[in-house]
Amino acid sequence: MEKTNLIEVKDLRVSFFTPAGEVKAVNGISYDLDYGEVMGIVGESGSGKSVEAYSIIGLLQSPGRVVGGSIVVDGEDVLSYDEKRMREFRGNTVSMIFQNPMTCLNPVYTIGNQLMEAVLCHENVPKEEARKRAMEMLTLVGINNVEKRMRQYPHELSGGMRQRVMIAMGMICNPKLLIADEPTTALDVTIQAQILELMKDLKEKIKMSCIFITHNLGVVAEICDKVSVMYGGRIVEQGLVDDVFENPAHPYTRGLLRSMPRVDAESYERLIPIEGTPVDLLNAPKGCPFAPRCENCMKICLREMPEYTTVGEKHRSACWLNSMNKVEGGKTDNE
Amino acid sequence: MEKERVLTQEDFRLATEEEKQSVVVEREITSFWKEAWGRLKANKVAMVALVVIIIYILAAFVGPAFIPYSYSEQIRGAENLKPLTYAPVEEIARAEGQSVFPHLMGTDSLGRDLLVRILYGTRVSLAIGVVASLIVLVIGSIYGSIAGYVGGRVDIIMMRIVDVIYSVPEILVVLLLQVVLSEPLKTWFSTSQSGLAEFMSTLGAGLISIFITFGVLYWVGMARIIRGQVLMLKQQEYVTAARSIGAKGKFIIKKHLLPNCVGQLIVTTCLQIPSAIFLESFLSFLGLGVSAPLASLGSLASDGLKGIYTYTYRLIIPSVVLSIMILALNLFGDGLRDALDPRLKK
Amino acid sequence: MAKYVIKRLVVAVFTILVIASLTFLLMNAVPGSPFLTEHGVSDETMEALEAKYGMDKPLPVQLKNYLVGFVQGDMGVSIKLQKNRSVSEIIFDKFPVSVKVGVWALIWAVTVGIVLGCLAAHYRGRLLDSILRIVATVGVAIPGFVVASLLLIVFGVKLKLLPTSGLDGWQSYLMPAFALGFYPMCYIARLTRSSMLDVIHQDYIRTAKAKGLNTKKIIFKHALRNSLIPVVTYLGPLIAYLVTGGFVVETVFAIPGLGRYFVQSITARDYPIIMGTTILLATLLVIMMVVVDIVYKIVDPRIQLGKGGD
Repeated sequence: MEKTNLIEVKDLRVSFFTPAGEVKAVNGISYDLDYGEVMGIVGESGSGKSVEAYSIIGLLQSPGRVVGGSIVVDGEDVLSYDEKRMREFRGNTVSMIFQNPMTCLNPVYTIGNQLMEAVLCHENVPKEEARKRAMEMLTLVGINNVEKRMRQYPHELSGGMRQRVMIAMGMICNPKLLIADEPTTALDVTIQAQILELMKDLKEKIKMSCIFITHNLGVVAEICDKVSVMYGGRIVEQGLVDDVFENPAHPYTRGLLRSMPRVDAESYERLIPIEGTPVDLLNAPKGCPFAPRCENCMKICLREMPEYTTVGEKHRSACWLNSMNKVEGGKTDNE
Repeated sequence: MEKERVLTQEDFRLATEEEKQSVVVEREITSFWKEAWGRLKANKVAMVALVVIIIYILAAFVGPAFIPYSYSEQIRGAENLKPLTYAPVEEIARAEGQSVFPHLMGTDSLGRDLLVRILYGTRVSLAIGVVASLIVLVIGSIYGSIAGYVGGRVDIIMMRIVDVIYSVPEILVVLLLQVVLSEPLKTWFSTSQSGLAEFMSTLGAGLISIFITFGVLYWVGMARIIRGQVLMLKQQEYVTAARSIGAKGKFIIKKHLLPNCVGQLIVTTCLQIPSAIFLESFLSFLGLGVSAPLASLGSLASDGLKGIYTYTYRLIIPSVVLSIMILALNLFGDGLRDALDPRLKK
Repeated sequence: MAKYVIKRLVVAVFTILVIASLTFLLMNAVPGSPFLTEHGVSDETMEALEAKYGMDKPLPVQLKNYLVGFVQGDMGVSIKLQKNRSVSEIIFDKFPVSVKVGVWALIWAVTVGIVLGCLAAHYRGRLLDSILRIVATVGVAIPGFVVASLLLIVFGVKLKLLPTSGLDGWQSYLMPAFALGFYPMCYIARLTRSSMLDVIHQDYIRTAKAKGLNTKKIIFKHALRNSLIPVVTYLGPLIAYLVTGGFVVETVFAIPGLGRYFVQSITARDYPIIMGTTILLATLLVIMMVVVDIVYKIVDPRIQLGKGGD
């Protein structure tokens, strides 16, 4: 095991056991992340990106369960933690911020109360110390008038402000890894930009590792070092941001890139949507999950799951197109 | 873990559109009512409750036909009989070879067969529950849908009225109405010859004031629910569409709005029945509900309380019958709600 | 906050006066004189009686006199049950008895209901939850008089453990308070359970978990206070229930409280007592509504006007 990595996820499988049957929300994904790195996980709703994040921090909601694989954070197997160890781990080693800041803060307690609580439950410090830390943190995330904010209730703050509070809360115990689950999705566009700016800023200042879950490729290009593209519970392509954006190896990634508006695009370039609907994981096909929507779909794609092939340094993809050179006789007629 | 294996050119031929679609599994789409019925059928508790309710209805409306006593018939010498015993006169008749229908639950202090009174009492309680709920349904849904549909100032005023009525303690009103109504009703009963007056005099002032109270006060909950639904549905495109082709307000309410709140209507009405029965039994127990000789489960329990030391079962039987009925109605109503609106299910 | 309270109290006083007037007018709408009995009363006696009780004056004057008297604590005298005894005296005599039982019922219903509801939510789907759910579901289906009577039969008549009537000594409070509070206890338990389950799935609970708080802190600090909000809204109807439920419980256990007396006065058509008691109970309910509103605002800062909270 390479000791250099902060988090190593190997062949993680998560299933939801619903009355209708087993839903394989995450179906064997692997990745690693080094200290100080920021990785983006991109995918559409239901691709399993949030589920994967929740399983790191042990917050999977019933009936979801990790059914296979391993998650090693800082050399320790997280999945073997008991309830007590998991609590110490959460917020302290890994913390998480969520999508909707409007509902993520408890409406009946003040901002200060909720921030200080995070410090007090992990560190044995006097209340005054916790208070000081909370105020420092609020200043750090760009909130002014801190004294007053500490005494305010969540409903008295705007959405952007609340997300700043959430970020402060996530970082108040100096975690090694911050998981941000679509932190900008629920916000107005202008506020989104502010929050992204803040996160970029913090990334420079604090050098914290971060997993950034989003369906917005622009966000990934902006602040991530690496990216994993998820579809139907699998990572279909992963690599350094530049490699993936320059040379997408999977048709889904290509589709995503084509459907994203670009400022620098030529005026005649059109946005091309990906046709079809996301895969139903309750009745997952035995072949590639993306096959029915894929423009390059081949007969084998419907029958067998493609394996990962390395397409560049630290860049791999799961698509039969990349395996074509292994065919007897080399080239195929549709190339 | 890359396996070496042989792949052929055939594998890499482009798949056809049909082939691609063949692996997409569409979930079956069923109609709302069929799905709701399926959910209801799957709910064992609700189905048991439904069976219990059916048994109650049969017992209350068909049962008395099989018993040769009436609820007001006083059998001479048969006062205070224990269950399955006979009065002296009946013993003589039996000795003479006549068949005498047994008093399965004994008789009360006036020599009336308790079983038949309980069946009648159940009938009265059920009927009151249903009638009161229908009153609530009619007034509440009309009021609520008008307020919600018209909107604006009319809505504000109508809902302010609802707020005021909501804060009135209803049992006090029932009691006051009863005091106020009993005299004029008595005069009317004794002077009028019409069938309505006769029927109403059987019910008594207590019941009539219960119905009036339901008509005046209890519909507000229903009105609020319906208004909320209508306000929500009003925004939907099909109402705008109906409007744009010139449909009138009344027509839109009848044709588009009400059918779409029908689930809520059914559930609220169903849950109103046990609450009406609750109120009726409460009043009857205090001697302020049905008037003798008509019985309801509440008044039977009240009678039973008087002989609690010797005839405990006279209190227990109507109490248990009543409690099971309310329980079954509650459970069925809950099941119906879960079935019709799965979003509400917790 | 203070401004809000004052505003609510002013509205409450107004409401009470309206209720008092309506009650008075409704009572006066009853045809025939309350002094009519089966024996028949001569016209002179009738006039004398009406003059004595101020009933010969026009209705608005009567109403004004009644309201003025009401504000000064004079609600007339009983005309049937305890002839010529002042209504306010009777109420002051009987009301404290009812309040004592009601307060005990309130305390046990709220505390036990909330605790059981939390336990059921916490052990959701397990045996304890199933048992509590069955008890609570059955409990809200049993009318108060059934609970009271069954208790009376088991503990009073069969086992002879507790006194069957009156209110002397703490033992005599057990059954009435239990019977009165049983239905609201079950209701609160159900309410707390479902609202707790609702709250547990809220995003802010996930945040609290992600912070690494322990279960105790999550339940008691973050979940409980939010899930109590619906319980607070139930307090109004709860108090109304305790008032009317008191009628039944006092009747079953022969407690000399206002509820039982009220029922007797209705049966006897003792109008001044009916009026006085109705107005008193309505007043109580209106005031309690104001109190509940204020408590509501303290528990949920989102609807707070002034400053406060913790």
